[in-house]
Amino acid sequence: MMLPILEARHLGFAYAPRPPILTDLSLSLDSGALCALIGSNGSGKSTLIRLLAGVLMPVSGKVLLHGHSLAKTPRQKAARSLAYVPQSWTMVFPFTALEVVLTGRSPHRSPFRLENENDRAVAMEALSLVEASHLAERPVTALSTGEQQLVSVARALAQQPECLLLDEPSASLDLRHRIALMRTLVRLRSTLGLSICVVTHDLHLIDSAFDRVLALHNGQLIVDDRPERVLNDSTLAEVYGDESIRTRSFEGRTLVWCD
Amino acid sequence: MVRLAEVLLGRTKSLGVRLLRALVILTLILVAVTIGSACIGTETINFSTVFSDPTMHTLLFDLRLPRVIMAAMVGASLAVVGAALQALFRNPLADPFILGVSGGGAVGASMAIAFGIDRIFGGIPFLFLSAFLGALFAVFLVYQIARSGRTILPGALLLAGVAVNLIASSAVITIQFLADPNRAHQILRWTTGSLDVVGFTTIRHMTLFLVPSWVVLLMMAEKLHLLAIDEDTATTLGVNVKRSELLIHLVCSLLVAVTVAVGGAVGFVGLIVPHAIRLLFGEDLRIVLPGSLLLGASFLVAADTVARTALGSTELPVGAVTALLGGPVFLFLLRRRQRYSAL
Repeated sequence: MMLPILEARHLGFAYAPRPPILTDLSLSLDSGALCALIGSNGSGKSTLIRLLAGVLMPVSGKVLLHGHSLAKTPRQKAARSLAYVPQSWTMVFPFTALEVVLTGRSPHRSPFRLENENDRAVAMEALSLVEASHLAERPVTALSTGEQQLVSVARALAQQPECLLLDEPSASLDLRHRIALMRTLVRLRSTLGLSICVVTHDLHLIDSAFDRVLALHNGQLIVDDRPERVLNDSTLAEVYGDESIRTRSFEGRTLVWCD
Repeated sequence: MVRLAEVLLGRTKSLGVRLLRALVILTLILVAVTIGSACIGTETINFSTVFSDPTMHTLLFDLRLPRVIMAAMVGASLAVVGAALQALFRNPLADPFILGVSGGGAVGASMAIAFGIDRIFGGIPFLFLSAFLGALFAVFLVYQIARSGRTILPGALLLAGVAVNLIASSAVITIQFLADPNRAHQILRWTTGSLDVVGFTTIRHMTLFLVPSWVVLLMMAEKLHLLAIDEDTATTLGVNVKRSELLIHLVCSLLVAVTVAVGGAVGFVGLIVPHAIRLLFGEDLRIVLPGSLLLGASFLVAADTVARTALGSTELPVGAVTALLGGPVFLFLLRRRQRYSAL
């Protein structure tokens, strides 16, 4: 039996005084699992992933990393096992892509130490994993949104985490990089044993390599199962609240369209 | 020797070497500017006669030198605060003067002057304490107005700064009117920022507050580096954002308060200097912060030399010199930034 690397117990979250976004949500991510988190806009996906990453603190319930409360784990220690790729970021200063990726090494350094050759090698390796080595010396402010996204993923990989949480990493990528990114995630899972949870709307890119698909609806986890058991007409109709969604399985993938 | 030349001139990517190079170059500039400024004035100092001629000795050690040291300390503080606030707010136009922090400090300081400047509580001049509270209030106010959920709205930040500045200058004028004429004149003297009438006692008091604050900010360099890139990822990389913000607000308020208390509101140093450092040495905050500290010192010493000498025997307030230089730079940066993103 695999031990869960990340667990959510009875999570509740609200931006008071607005109504709660999540209520009493529990889930567990197995070590080495590749999961997709789907749901309609506003269903609470980003909030959930930000709670799991420790960016937000839950109003009720708790997140456990390796069985220990994330809120009580020293941040730097947590940062060595847990990495997060935000949905978007606004770059203000023209840092080079390599400088941004190198910040991923920060949790691994003792305070007041500058990055060494090994850190640079890890950062370059991370950039090459997402096929973005050529961007290393470019200022991030001059990159396209998709390229910035790749840099952000590389930054998370440079953290050499055990668990990677990505919030719609493929949203502004072209088809080639979308596929490359998904392929990279699958490969990282199999070669490094990384546990990955990725928020996505790209249902057609969720293939049999994914262990689980979690579906959120109105702040509730309504499905948590193998991809083929989630990606079907009736479940997707419930997840997205649209009866006209049609699916067909084709060579291990699911085609999704609308009547 | 070859190694040194490589460090100074070669193209290198290692952060350590780049940092060392920046520090060496900027220290040389600071030394040159300091010596130059100490010599230049209505009376040019001839170093060969300094120790034989008592007038020269007094001129250099009792008048010129304290002023140069003070200019250096004020400039260093304002520049490093500018660099820190730009990173913290992710806003390249942030500057303690523009954001109203200096204004808040000025209100606190003028209240202290109006009520009696020379009181000292537990070794801390009341002037510093009062200016600190004013600056701290201003920075929190501006921050609270500009903060909207996950982002600090850049336009709101600058507008809030403008409003706080207007309120602060009106408050200073009101305090001037209410204070007795002698003290009102004293307030008037420093509001535009001038560095005259200093002695080593003031410098000792300043050192006590400024140097530890510089050290704290330099120790925060890595955290500020992460915050300058993105707040959420900084959190997941191990930065306690709330605690860092609070500490930086406190330290920056203290630095600005002390500079305002001794030299008035000197503007735009915190804007120009970090930008110059970034242009010269790149974006990494671990270079920008110490670099701004050194270049800020050189910059204000040079500006004060201009203020002392440009009009012959009449002195210009140094704040006027920096504003005349810095204002256009601000407008240029604003224009350039607008092309990238709407404020």
